[in-house]
Amino acid sequence: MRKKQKPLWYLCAALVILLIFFLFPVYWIFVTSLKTRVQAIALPPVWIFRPILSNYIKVFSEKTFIRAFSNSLVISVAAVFLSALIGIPAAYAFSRCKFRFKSNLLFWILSTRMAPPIAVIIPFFLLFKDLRMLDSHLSLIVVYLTFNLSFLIWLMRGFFEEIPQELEEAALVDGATDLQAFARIALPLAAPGIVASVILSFLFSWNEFFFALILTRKVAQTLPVMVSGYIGFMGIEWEKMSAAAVAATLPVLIMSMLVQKYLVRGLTMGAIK
Amino acid sequence: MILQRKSFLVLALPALAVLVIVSIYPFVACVNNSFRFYDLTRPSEGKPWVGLTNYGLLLGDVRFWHSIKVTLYFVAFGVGAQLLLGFAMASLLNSLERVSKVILPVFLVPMVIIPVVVGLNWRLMYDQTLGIINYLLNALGFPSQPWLGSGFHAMLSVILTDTWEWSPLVFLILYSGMKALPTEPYEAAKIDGATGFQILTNVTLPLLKPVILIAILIRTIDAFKWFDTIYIMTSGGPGMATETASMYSYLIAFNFFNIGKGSAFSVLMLALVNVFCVFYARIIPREGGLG
Repeated sequence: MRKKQKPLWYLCAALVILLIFFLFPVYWIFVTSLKTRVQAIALPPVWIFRPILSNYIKVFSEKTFIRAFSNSLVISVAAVFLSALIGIPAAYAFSRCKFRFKSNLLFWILSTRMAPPIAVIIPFFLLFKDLRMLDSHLSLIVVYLTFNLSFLIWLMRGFFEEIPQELEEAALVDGATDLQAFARIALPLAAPGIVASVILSFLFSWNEFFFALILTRKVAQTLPVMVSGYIGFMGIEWEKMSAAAVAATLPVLIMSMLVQKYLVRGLTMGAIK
Repeated sequence: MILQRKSFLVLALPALAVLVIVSIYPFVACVNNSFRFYDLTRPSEGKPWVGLTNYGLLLGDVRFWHSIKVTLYFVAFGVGAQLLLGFAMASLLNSLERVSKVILPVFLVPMVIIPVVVGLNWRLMYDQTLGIINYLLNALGFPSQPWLGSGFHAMLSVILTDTWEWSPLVFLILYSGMKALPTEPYEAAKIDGATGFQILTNVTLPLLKPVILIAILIRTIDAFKWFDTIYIMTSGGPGMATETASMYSYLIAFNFFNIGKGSAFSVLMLALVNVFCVFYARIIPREGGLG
């Protein structure tokens, strides 16, 4: 691309405006979570104040929050683990085989990922209602397989395709079976891709709201649903809602920063590398 | 070919079996239910076969067409704004190479925050009396606006929040596309004395076309299905001003408990998304990615 020797001042000004636009909302919810109730709804807004942690202490001493946090953790980990367990071998199989209708099969896998959630959830809601499994961890884990599995297969296939096949071929010559070549050579080489895909998969599960809203009530309620319940208290407990929101977001925010290199790749299903 | 047929099946079959169950089952059930009278509030009536009645009901429903219109607005103006802003951001950071490395992670934040939290946060900021946005407007001498209070404003607010959340994705897609552009066409254009605008329309945009298409398709598919922030900020209101197709289909199935009509709605949405998907699969090059 063209090289500009020194950044012009108006470019820098535009950059500052962009940064304010994208960062201010994040900053605002964070500082609100550190305010007292009076400060949180004060007009004019309080810009300089002594931050307090009592909102976080209150949130973490609430049973519903702790339960939602552990529900989110259990459901996301289980869904991602199961998806990775069967999805990663399948991704490898797709990257190392050629057969008729392969692209049709892959398209079908992509389309399960793209399907409108409402089309997925009505049948599952009815099924789990009949099985008396509404508001259970297992129901949500099963539904989360729908998007995690197709995501992992599609993304990991791309990572495996980037690994040169020669190493595996050499192992075959040395007498290893093809499954051994997968487990001992391809799998370790794909480790960075696996870590990235698994973390992104976890992020999607953790942030998921629509399915959880419909399938859970109390026992298996996840964090996004629990936090959305603060709407009822709008205007009364802004500071507490903000603290819960920040606490719910922070774990995945940190994790996704670790794999930022792969974030766009994941969000575009591997179309952009 | 490294894998033998048997090993392929060993590796791929479990995943394919689960995928068949979790994707074919809902699809078949959905289509089946869409042909039935199926109302959860009237269990005594069973679920008799009614043919295309649900589709007829839907197509004769003013609220259905209204939700389609709202969805089109949301997708067209939202994705349009995100493209413009994303492209501006990509061009900007592309010419500020030294700072872009440091600043890039900042733009990842909006899209990894829980969408529910994004919605709640903007709802606080949009608040008509206590919100920070109206306070800042007043401070600059402008009158307060009913951000989530009037139909026009609510639509604007929902689109603005979506733009905040997803412009960064468009930006990153276009940015990685720009990074991969060849330098020769630019040098040639410069020698020929092309203006900045001519370079943009005759060199950059044509070269970026595949990447721009990916950004448009990804965002269109997602915006078409979007639910979370709309549900949190307006729940489709005020009135039905922001009631998108996903919002209305949710209400039909889970507020009015009309499973038959909701399923018919789902089938229509599924068909539409699949059309986008076909385009998407076409532009993803066979051997992996772009950029």
